[in-house]
Amino acid sequence: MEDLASKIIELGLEKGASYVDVRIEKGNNGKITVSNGKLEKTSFGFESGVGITVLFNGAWGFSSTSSLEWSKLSKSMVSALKTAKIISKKIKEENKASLADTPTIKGKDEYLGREKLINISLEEKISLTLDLDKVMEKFDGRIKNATVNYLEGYGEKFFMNNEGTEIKVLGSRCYLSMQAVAVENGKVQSYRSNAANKGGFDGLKEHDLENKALETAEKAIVLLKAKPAPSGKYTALIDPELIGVFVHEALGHALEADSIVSGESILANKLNKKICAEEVNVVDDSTLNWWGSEKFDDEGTPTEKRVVIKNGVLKNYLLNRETASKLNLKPNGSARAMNYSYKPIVRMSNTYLVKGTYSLEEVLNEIKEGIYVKGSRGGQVDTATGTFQFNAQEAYKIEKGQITTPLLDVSLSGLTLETLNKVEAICKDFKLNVGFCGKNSQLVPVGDGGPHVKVSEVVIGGRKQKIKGFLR
Amino acid sequence: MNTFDFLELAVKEAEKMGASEAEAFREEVDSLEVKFEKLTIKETKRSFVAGLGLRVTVDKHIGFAYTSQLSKKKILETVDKALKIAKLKPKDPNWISLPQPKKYRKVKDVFDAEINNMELEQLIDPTLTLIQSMKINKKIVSGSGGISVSKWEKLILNSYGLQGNDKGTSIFASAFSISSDNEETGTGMDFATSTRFKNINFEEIGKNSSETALKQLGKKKIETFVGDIVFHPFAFADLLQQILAPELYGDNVFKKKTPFYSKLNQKISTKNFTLIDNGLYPAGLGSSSFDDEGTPTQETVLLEKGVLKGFLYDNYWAGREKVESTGNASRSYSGEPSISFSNLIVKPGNKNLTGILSEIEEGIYVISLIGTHTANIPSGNFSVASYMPFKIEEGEIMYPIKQAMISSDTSTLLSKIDEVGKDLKVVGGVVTPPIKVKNVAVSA
Repeated sequence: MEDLASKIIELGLEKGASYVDVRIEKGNNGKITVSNGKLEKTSFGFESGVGITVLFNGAWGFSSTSSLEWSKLSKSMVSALKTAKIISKKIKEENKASLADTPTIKGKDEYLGREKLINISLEEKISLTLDLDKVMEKFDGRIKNATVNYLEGYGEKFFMNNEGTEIKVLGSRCYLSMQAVAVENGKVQSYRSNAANKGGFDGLKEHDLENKALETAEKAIVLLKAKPAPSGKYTALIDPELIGVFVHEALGHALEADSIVSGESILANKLNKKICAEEVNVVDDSTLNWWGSEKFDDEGTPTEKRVVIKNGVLKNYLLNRETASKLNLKPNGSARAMNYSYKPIVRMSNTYLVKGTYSLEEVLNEIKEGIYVKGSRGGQVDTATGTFQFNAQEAYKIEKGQITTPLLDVSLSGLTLETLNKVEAICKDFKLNVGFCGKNSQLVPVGDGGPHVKVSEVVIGGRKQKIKGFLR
Repeated sequence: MNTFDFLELAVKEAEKMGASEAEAFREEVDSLEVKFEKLTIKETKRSFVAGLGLRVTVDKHIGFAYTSQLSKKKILETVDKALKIAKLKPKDPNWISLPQPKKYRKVKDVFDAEINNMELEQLIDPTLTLIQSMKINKKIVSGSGGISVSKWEKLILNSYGLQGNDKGTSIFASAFSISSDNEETGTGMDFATSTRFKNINFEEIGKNSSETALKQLGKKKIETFVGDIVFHPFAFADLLQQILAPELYGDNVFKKKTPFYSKLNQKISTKNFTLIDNGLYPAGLGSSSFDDEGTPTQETVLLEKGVLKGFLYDNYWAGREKVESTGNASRSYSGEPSISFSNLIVKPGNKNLTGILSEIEEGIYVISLIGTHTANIPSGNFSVASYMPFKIEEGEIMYPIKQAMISSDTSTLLSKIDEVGKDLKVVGGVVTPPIKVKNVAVSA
């Protein structure tokens, strides 16, 4: 791979590129789907390809191909450079791209775990998914459907640029998601949970999967009793899973420096300014031993623990080399690509709200009426206006400090900065979650989390109208 | 060896090694893209993705494997892997067979020679035109977007002599505008998709996007209310493809993972609403002569005047339900087929947008939605944020709104469709006019 990469780089420099990097990937991906005790889908395969990035006089060119043949690759390089040359004439000087310095390194990383995925038989992977499916199905007669998905990927990534950086990563990840659907009297409810590991099969099994499956089925059953949720503004107690989604969606995306540079973030020009309550501290940490971490980003920069909000003050953005250069900051290893066929863009790793000092009991006790929102079915944000939406998996009424009636399909929406200023109490518990984040059609593994948090007012979108005072 | 030879090698080799049936599927996608940001051209991208997927059955045990590399060695490895997986999988007594060969019909206007022969640099001038057309006012402070074109080709071959080869093209052009005035930010967007380059009006996309961004300045807060919602085709297409379409897929019907599993031939919407899936729709982005397992595509009526008339099937789930496949198998080379819509077409009504708005006392007009992917498919419940919403009062769009959430479920929403507009818009694989829905909870 080294030889192929250097050959491509040589060709790029020869043709006039000021910067070239090459990413070669070879790997195996697999997927198992089990539904209602039956192995539905199993697909395993091999994928390889090369992504070539060039910079010519401030203009980017990117080209990728799933072929490893030199004839295709040299054509790929020539095409990337040709268009970069043309557009470099159309870009205004102030908008031209340049790269902030990053150390030249010969780096290596390996995360394959103790029980390497390549050594675990297909039989064992299948029987794990089947077992978990059975646990959910057997839990209660009202569970009409149980589905388990297993995903895995392992392989090698090789990065080389013309500055002399070379990085070889050998890694694997595996991911499980479980869904239980409960049906009673025409009502259909579902609950989903997941577990994942960066590394081997051993790490996945350590997640107490059987209990997770039981819990998934149980929650789907509880939801059958849920009542329509109200609409309007409420005090909310948000659990660590949903607060993770909030921090990721509402705040994290607005901290990605590509949106800062393009003027599409509410946090542009807010560096070193107080943007929220003093109790709020937010970190994006790619050095944690967790799902969303990488030791090097896809531009060859070592990653970091990035303190983005300290005591309510915006301290840093998530930066790649280009945005760091534009904003006169230091790159912090936030360039990630889904695979060789995409140019790396600014992404999060593991983003979390730092825990506070309150106990969950004391915070709950103070809430006379409110809504407890738990778990997440996903969310989305527009970073330009800060409008966010996310959907809770579970929600309950809080009445006089007590968690009472379960509520159906509750979504929360608001404006990021307004909501952050309404954070009233941050608890001292803490939990990290796993998931995938999509941006510009690229999915990458990310982690998020935090403690329980009380927010004085958020908009809840439910089906019932708020009629004077509380929910009826 | 040409590409077809590799498909033949895979099928023949699989049969030789013990497969009762084998099917090789090849897909190639070649894309070109120019992106802009801050109203200036930013970067170009070319990508080529291709691979071969192999499905085998051994006495009703089904196996699947794939490779992105076409070489004799990789094909033999893939055959070996697929057969190994088949042996591990339990027998599926419900498996009937891979599809048998049938005659295909040609679809009109899915392949554009202009896109097929296009070089990346030819997208630069249209991108500059698009950027220029966004600059309609000093209050437009930033904007991003781009133009991408793709050409695709798919090949399929199975043990029954089924053989298919189809190709097509597409273009996607988008603009996202940001306006600013007195510390307030407004956003606007527009995009267009087509199978043909000529069908795209770049000036119009840029202008529409920036006009919306300007109209989004001066946002007001509103109170929670129940009222009428008019969905722009972007918003309604999002609801259709993310939430309603999966609820009409045969596998979800079989598994009772949809609110409509027992509603065939019942009225689930109003007489205004007719929805069709059409894999042969001329110039449709989801059109092709055959689906991704070689079944001929067709027109399938899903809802006719509010009555649920049909579901969508691939070969396997059609067999389970003892019906014919509707030609809705979809896959990439790296996965087994699953059910997906081809082109969803809403039958247009009589009124234009102004006519629809004129009858509304109080409501909102929503261009786009945030969060449709969080909907609960089995129950149909969703609660999404409106994006670029406007308040409608006494028949007119009065002012932009700061925040409004829309909560309902597909059964209720369908039963409250009050007006279907007459002006169709192509939104990817969905073709729909604006839609008015009565009495929906809007939270703010």
